Amino acid sequence: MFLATVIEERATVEETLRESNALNRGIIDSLTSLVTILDRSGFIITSNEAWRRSHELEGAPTPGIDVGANYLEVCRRAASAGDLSVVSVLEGIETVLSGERIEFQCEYPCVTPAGSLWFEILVLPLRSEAGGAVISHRDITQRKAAERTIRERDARISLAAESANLALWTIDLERNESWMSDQGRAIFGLSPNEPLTRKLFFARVHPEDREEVYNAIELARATSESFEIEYRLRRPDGETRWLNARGRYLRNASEEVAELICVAIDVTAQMKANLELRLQRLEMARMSRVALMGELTASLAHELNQPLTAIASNAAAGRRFLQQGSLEPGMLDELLVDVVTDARRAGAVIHGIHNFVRKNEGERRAVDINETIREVLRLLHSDLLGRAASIETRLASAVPLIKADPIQLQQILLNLVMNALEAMQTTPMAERRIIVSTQCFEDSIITGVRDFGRGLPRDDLDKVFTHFYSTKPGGMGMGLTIVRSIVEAHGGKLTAANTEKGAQFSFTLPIMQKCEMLQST
Amino acid sequence: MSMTPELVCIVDDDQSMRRSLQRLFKSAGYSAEIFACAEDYLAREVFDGPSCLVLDVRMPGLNGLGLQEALEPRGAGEQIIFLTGHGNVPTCKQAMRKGAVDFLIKPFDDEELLGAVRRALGRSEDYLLKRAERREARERINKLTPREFEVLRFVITGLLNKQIAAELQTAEKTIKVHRGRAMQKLGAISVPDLVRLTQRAGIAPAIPSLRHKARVSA
Repeated sequence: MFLATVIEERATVEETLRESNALNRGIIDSLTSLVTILDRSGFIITSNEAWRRSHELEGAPTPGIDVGANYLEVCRRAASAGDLSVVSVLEGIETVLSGERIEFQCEYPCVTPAGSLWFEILVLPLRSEAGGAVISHRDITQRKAAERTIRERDARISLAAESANLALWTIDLERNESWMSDQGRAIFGLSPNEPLTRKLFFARVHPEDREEVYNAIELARATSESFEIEYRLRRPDGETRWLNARGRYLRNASEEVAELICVAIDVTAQMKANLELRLQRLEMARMSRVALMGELTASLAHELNQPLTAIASNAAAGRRFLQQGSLEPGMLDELLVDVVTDARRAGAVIHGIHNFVRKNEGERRAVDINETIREVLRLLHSDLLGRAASIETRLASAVPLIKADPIQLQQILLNLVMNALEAMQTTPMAERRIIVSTQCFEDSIITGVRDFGRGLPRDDLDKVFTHFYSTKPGGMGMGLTIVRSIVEAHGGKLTAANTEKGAQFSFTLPIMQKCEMLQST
Repeated sequence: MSMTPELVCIVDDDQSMRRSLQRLFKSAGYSAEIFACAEDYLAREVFDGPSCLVLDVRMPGLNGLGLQEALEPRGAGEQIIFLTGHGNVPTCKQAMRKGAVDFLIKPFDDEELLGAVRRALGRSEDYLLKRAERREARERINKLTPREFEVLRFVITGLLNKQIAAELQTAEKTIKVHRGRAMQKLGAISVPDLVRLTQRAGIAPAIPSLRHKARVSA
């Protein structure tokens, strides 16, 4: 009975043991990695299904090697046969077996009849009193191929970036890694091994542009849209470069922002050329203003002479009263108030001339066009009288502000009114009229200058805008060309048309947006 | 200086010019009136004393030269001084030809302007005096009969009665009678008296046909 029980128990234990072995086997065979287990001396004790199957495929790192073979010997043979990648694997296994290391891991290539494969080997000590090691091989050929593709893609992009003079960089937010093309490093003034960080990037951006760049990038992050921005870099060597950059955030599989990818082109040369051109345009506009002033000298002399003569007369009158002893304080006060008013008036004329002909930076601010029209007509006052022309204004009430260079705006108006006067030289005096009008539309203001003169050449109205076209014997033919370029630089449009009698020039200028107004105040 | 009141008028579209000039003229002892435009001046009743008009060339509406032209047919006594911001030769020539006293370019010296005003007022006074004399002389001459007037026009050429008779184909005696009556009516005692009177009245002497010369020499 007892024996039977013992036998039964033993049978149960054996059965349990068998079941346990079968379970372990099952587990090890279920693994997709190629697993071999070595004893302390490097002999293979066991291996799993994947390992064995790999031999059949003849793609294994060591084909035909299974239980009973010494893995270390196999490796040594391969190493002496010239397979250098095995040397480190061998060393790794040996150090784990000897207990020097508790883990060894590396990736190595393996040339097999099926082709070149890549494996990742992981060697861990076998947790057994007898010692030994567990070796797991994982086929990483695909991953390696993908990595290579990425490397090649990067190289190709780098090549493209370099040949197009582009800076290209990515900042991987997940892995906290970055990459920048050589050209980018050159443009940003980074040394080849200096890692690009967000902080470093912003340090290079010109302080005046930092906020704008930051906002553009943040907006792109929020909206997942690409951004395009022009900004300046201030390099450590002190040089300023202009960049035109585009970029966007890439998202990972779970739709999280993962990587920032940017491309930029160095547009410094272009910007310098543009700046040069802008300065040339400004200078040309100024020369044209100086020429206009020349035409207006008689008129301006009159505007100055009026107050100066009045001052001189008042002063002479004051002296006479004084000599006669008939100068009353009340009268003196009145006289002096007039003198001060006239002195201010003369000052304003000179200030106006100075402003008009000085070099200006083309600075734009909020301008009331009706006010500018009134100023110009004041300036032209005696010229209009001298030419016996009457001027009529039909100005829209309460016009919205426009963003413009006030001096250039005056120049536009002055040119158009002077042109209108020229066009009416042969018109009978009684018919010499000019109508200056403003009209408001939703997002623009149209200003019109209409004359009752001979009209424009019927064949080609646009001809009046071309360089050196002039109907005036002494004219340079630059006036309207410059007027048009100024209007267009302000985002407007200048047109010319014949009316039933005479010609009408009109130009549109965009109304200042509310946000612009806030900025400019 | 005459005892008749004098007046300086200023026509300028610029208010501060008007005010300062008025003050200057007052300081020099003149009474001065100001007008903002030519039309306002034309609307003022004609001043009968010596007067001077200080006139801006450039003005809206009727300009300085236009006002000068408009004033001519009125025959009033004002003498014009033009003021201008800049010298314009054709304008200046036209103004002076039409009898302006001066053409001053701003800014001018106060003495220069006051000197011009003095000359203008003097000229205005002369003009008024001559005009009064002419009127008085005309009034007297108007009392003559047509025949007496005709004889008078020959007398002032220095012809003798005989020669006048030949011109008018009448008797020397008849001429003598007309001549006597004319001298009586005009209150003249000599031929030079008659000459002065007719000159004042602006009457041109007759042009002799010289028919008498043949007779005299014959």
